[in-house]
Amino acid sequence: MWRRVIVHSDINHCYAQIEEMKFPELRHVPMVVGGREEARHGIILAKNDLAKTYNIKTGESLREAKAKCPNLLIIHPNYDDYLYYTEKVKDIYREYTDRVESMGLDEAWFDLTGSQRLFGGDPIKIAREIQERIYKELGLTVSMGVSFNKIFAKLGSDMDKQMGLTIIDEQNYRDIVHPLPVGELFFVGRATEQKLKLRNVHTIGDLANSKKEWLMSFLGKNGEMIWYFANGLDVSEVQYQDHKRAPKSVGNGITAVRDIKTYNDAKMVFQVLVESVASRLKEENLKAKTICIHMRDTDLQIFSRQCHMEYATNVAQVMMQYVLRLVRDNCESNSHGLFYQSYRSVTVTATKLIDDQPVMQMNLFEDVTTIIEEKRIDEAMDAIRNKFGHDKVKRCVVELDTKLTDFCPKEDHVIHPEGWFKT
Amino acid sequence: MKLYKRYVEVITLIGKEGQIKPLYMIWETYEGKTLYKIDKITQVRQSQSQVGGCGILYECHIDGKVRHLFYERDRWFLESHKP
Repeated sequence: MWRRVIVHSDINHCYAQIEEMKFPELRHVPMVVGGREEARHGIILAKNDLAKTYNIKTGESLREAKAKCPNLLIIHPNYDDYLYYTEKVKDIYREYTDRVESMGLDEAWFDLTGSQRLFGGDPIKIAREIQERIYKELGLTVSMGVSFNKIFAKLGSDMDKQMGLTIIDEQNYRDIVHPLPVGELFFVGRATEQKLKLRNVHTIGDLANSKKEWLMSFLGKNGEMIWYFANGLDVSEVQYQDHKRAPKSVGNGITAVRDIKTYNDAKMVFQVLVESVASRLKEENLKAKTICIHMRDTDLQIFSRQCHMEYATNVAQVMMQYVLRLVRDNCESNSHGLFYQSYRSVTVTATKLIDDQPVMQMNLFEDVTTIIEEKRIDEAMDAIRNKFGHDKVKRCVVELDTKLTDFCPKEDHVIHPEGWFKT
Repeated sequence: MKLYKRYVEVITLIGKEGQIKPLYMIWETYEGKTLYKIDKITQVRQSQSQVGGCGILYECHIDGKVRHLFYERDRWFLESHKP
């Protein structure tokens, strides 16, 4: 019996492994799961072990990978399957505890503190049992870290892949965790790692033995946090399985099928994105006060600009006015509306969210009837789309280039990034 | 012996509580369809399959032989001895 048992489990090279499970022949050839090159989504999302021997890395382009391994097999992602099977894995965790917190599709923490007595009392045996059940029932291998806090559990699951089980308890954590390089610790990214290395902090042990105040002097409050992490003092709870955190922002983005070269191109793509953002805001019963655009040019340089809106809103056309103003002000173009720079991908995000209350303070000197009408149009469009499909009703502007606007961010975008802070 | 994954048509009985019981399996060839009665189900459990995929495994006796029939998401496949 442990005082606290937190397990972090990670499905090894998740997408690739699910494909291998479905088609076992794929285990004998170097294979990667990657997006479609023709739609310009050609990066590697996951790779199998044979592909790994060719030094292929997740995130690099398919072309680079092909150069390293000419007979590489590329499989396009089937998100529907990945969602289904990863949820099945989590269902097994849920048989053991009600505290299951997902971190993306393939990773999850679960807390066995309360239920260890129910399943025999030995947390390591329970973890091993869960691991073996996942293999027998679903044919997937997961690596696990068993520890007394979430941070060390995550570290543990990364240490031994291939169905490994790493135990980091209160007695051995100094021997296991402290010799590791500081960059391995959760929340120590490249920039923090550089700052620490400059000050001769190379391992997690060095970090743990430093003074908290000294770390805070150059890392701010994150310095304090990683000091707690390194000393095993993290006390954050694993959230209940039905815990749903309130969104802090709602955004959609797309890598366009061709470069966005003119103001009109940008207008079309943003129209589709903004409609999706507005519709999602309405579903969550929220309004946004700030709108933000990110644009990535063909040299992969990103810039983002944001502006406050006069009223908090979730009406697509109102948000669109601000987006277009941001585009006009920040993307230099000549008199024909041709941008000096071509853009590869664009994103629009609504932040500073507040509840959408039916009552709002109106401006005496402004006509708000058009806004109300626009909102009703939005609602009608959403109703039609929900019933008959996304492409059944469109604004005229997106018809100018149907190839460029032929995507549905609301339905295509199913996997959301997750953060550590869940308040 | 090498096994093959063969998706098959299955006639099932859905019980009052929602439990699914396969009754007949339909084997399709160029010559036509043959109906095989599932004589007995000896085991039902969630399992991976050695021919790829996973689902609810029904260990059945068909024509005097033990066969593994899987209910995978929304369709059935058999670990078949014939391709």
